[in-house]
Amino acid sequence: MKFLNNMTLGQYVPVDSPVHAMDPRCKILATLFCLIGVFMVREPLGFALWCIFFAAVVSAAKIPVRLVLSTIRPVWILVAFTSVIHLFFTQGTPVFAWGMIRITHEGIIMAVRMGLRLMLLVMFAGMLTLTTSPTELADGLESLFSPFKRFGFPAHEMAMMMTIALRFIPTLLNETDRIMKAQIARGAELERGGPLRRLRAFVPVLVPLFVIVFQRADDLATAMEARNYTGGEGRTRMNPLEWSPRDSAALIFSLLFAIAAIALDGRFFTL
Amino acid sequence: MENRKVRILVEGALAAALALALSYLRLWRMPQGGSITLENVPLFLFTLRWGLKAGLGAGSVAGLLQLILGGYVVHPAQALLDYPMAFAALSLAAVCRRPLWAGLLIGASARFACHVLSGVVFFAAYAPEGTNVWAYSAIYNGSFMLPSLVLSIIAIYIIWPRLEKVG
Repeated sequence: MKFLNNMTLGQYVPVDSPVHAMDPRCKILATLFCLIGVFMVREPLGFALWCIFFAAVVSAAKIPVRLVLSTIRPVWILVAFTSVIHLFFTQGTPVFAWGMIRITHEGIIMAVRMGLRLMLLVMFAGMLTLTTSPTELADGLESLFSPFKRFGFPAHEMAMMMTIALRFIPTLLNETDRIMKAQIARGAELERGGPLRRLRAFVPVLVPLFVIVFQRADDLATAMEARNYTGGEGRTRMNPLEWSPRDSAALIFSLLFAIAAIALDGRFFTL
Repeated sequence: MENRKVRILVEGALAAALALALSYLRLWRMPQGGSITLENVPLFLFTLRWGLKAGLGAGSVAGLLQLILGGYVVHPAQALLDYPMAFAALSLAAVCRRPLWAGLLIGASARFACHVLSGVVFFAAYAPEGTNVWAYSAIYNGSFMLPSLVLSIIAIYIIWPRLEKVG
């Protein structure tokens, strides 16, 4: 079991850039517009517009291109698989045939279209997490979902839980590591045998881990109550979110861009 | 906010955090590349302790965190189904506590159903027309999701009696 030294949680790259400085709510909504926009285009002009827009966002955000491309890593198999099945199984005018294998003109177009769409979607969503810290995202989500409070949606509680969880993931990773080492020192064999045997070896790690979680939860709940935590009503923030005119401009621009990309797509040139 | 509510909120947050922490720990690497983790175990335990509604909350939080910390989005419905809904589905384990295995099976099946549905949505949008999307999705997800869920159920079975003593 490889352990997680120097592991960084999430993908956030802290850089001083105009994109990083934007309000998280603005970034979440703008990303949503972009994802819908990318999903709706299917001709070269639409994809070209989105590629240009994406390149502009990346350069404004001052994120190294290598890191942006690495957001595709978890899905590259999916991208390759999707493109390949389209390449070989789309009916149409053949441009290449060799025995059973037949590649059609339409197949090539579909393969490129689907591959490009998938990569753009994943990279646009990746830009959100590259430029916005998880805590900011949690705050942004809380604010965006707070109108639903009147229907009983626990926006504040969810955001509070996300913030607490984010704080405790590294702590719990350390605890797991510590307990695993302690059990290995006592002769536990965590890396041998099939899944069932490993699971059984893992029980002496899991039980103390859960006991620790319950105790910590108890301590933290007591500490919060001692500081008079009473839920979302009337709570103030250390770093309140501030919506600036620049955020409004960016949001309107991305919405208009998405509409324009969808409207212009296929207007002048179609495949 | 009374004591119990804060307690549930904090414990749910920690259960979600532990689910995330355990998701980075590979118990077993499958031959075809997927991996088995114990990420479901804390969420199952939490929902068994505090019930369906609390479990839904903790599950959605765990899903959202996984999405933020390294998930991917290829389709709007896939983002919802693969992350918040899949984890929240585990909390259906609370609808049937006796026998314990029945509830756990319901929770695990619900999560599996979310992933299969998300796969169907994905393949419907990206695979050529005429592909049998249900079969593709069930095979693709079943290959790595099912062993993980089965092992989680076994883990709960071993751990639950021991934790009841601790409280």
